[in-house]
Amino acid sequence: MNIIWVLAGNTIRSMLRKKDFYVFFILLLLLLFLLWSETFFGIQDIVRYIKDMGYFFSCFFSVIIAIVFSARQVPDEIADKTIYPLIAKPVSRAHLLLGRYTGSLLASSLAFTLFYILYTGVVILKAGSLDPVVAVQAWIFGICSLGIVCAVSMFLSLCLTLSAAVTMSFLLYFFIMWFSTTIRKMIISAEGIKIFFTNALYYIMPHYEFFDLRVRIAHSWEAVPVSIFTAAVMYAVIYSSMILYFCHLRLKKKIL
Amino acid sequence: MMKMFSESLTNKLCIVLGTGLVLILASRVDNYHYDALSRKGFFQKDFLYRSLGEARRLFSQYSFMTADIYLHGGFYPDDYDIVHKGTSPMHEQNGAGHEKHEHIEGHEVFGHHEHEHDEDAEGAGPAGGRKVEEVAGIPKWNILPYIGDALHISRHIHLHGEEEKEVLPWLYYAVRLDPHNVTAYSIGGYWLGRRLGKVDEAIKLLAEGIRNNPYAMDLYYDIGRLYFFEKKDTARALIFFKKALRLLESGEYDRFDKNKVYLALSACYKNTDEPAKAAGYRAKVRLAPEPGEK
Amino acid sequence: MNESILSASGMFYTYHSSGKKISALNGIDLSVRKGDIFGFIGPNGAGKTTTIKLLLGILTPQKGKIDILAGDPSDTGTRRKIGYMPEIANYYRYLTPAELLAMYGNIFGLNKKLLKQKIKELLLLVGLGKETNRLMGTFSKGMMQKVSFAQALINDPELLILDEPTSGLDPLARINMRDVIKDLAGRGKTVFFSSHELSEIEMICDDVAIIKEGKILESGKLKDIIENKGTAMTLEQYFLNIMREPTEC
Repeated sequence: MNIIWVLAGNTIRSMLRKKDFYVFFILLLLLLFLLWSETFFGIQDIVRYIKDMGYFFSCFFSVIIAIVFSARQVPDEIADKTIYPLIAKPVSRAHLLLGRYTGSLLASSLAFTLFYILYTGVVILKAGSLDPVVAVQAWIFGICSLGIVCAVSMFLSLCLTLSAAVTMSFLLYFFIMWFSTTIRKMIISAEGIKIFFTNALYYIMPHYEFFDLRVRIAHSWEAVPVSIFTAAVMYAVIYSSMILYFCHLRLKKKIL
Repeated sequence: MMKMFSESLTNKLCIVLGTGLVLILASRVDNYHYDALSRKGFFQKDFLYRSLGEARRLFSQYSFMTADIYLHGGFYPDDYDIVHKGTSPMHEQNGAGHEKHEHIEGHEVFGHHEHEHDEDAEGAGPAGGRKVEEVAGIPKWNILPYIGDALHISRHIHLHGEEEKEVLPWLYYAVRLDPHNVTAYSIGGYWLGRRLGKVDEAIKLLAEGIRNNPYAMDLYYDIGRLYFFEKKDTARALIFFKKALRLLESGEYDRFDKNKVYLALSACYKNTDEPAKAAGYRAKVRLAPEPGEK
Repeated sequence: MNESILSASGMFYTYHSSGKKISALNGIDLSVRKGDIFGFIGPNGAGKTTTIKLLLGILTPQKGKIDILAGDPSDTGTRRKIGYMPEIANYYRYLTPAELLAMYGNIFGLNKKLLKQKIKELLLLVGLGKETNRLMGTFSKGMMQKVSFAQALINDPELLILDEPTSGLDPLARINMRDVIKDLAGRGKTVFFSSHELSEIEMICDDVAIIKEGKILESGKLKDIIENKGTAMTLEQYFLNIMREPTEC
């Protein structure tokens, strides 16, 4: 376990020393300022679009960091040959994988948390209040989503080239966000053999959309019920673990 | 080479996002003095407008649709959604259901309903609601779709009262990006003038719509309506209704459009004490179209 | 006679690339005694780095057996006692040498206070005492090589495996490294290193193995190998002669 945390710490340090995070933080700051300062038809206190767009940008920038960061971890180690002195030490490939994954997840979660704090600050300044339960749920869900994003990006980086892995990760993310609701509706209305195929597809694909609470936050809907919230978090943990297992199988076969 | 790419990917993202930000910032600097009370209006051929090119029409449509989605609390139902009967926190806060919407005085004269939605259909959803309710729900053992369905917002609600202002940013961007989006101008005028009580801003918006779309009959009608009902200025209202009539007679409009203009003119002439003219236009109102008419 | 700390027998390894099979090792036998400095030499592409990767458990031989420190190299417990200096000294450019050594030290689970002291000593030993807090992205090749040597020593290993340790070093640094290696051997450590610098091999090694095209041509005490041929010659001369002989199929 100690080895995993050492590698994770190294990954976080690399994020902080590279400029990606700061660029997105400044971009988000500027975007939130623009959204906050805008008035429409002389009417003040219009807040939903800030809640909506602010949350979207916070999540989106975190996802960019997560995908780009996690997809680079193992390929960069191999390309730079920094993997050799590492695995010559008592570090197994599983340690390496888990350490880099944990580091990517913590790094992108840290970025998301900071973005989220900035976002909630702006929303509270403009709107006066934010449902704390929904806010906390949205934060936890954001991290769960990043967990799956990091795992999937890492897996794709082990199967494809770096650029292909990053591209596929983004495409997959947007495809799921836009079409998963349609696929679920297809399950409801499917008949015969189609039920099997639609369900199989639904179970295989990563459900990023579960963790998107944009509508609840922006439009002041009630919080997610505890049972569903717990089930969704468990899904994130189980799915990420499965993907990491496949990553491990893939890395084991890789000739270094 | 991997490292070079991975570094340049960040650079590329920075360039793309940075360029977008510069364009938006530049448009803000360019238009900082264009506010709600500016004579220049909301539509400007600024950096944002020019940089998007014809794609801005797509964004304008998207903004308009988003305004509609916002009106429905972030969810727009379709035939496959399972509609849950019940109230949302907003309904409970405002104490309003469909049936409790305020009716603007005199709207019966125009003969049409304030709302496009069926007032009795609280919680029933859009057309085809019965079809929706017949579709089976997802069983709990099919855990993933069940979780997805449980997380998905699927209640049909409307914003009420002060909350209706939340649709405005998207209507603003709809007209900002496409000056020929007549529907956006019309709907924007409705929400500003008739729902939120911002009559001056509504008139300014519709006036800009008319400047950009001089042959849009609906906009003349809408602005005339505002003068008639909100400003109580029959003379001004009559000017706009007459213009609407001229466009009506020179263009191809259906029976509903004709009826509303005739009724409006009838109401105006009633106020100006010209009963003959009022009766004349009232007589032109038909429930059904004439043979060969739309 | 010292016990054998490293023994490999009948090692075979084949790379598969674009549908082709490249036979890197064809039955390698190695034996290294405790406390010896073992030189491993051969021309480019002979299989030196592949052998080292097999000894470290990075690759698994298709045939053969490897025994290091009475354990299997793929076992992480065995690797706790090994220090490795790779041929290409590439480390995380966003770290300082102190941070890198601290990271590796933490992997070994070393005590924090002792680790801090050890890092100081190691960096002084390799001549990087003044560069402790400088990012390695600004280091030259020689400086990276020194960092590489320092990280190989962080866990005070029983067996040191060095792949071309003096490559890129200035003459003073080479002398320093040779002295350190001799000192380590004197303290009972075993050093296994591959190099193209035959003069260095001749200066410090006790035993040597010569590899060509995946086969060990000669192996044993350096003195015996050179003097066996009767005439007095340097290792370089002997190596050139043996390379010119055709290899048995």
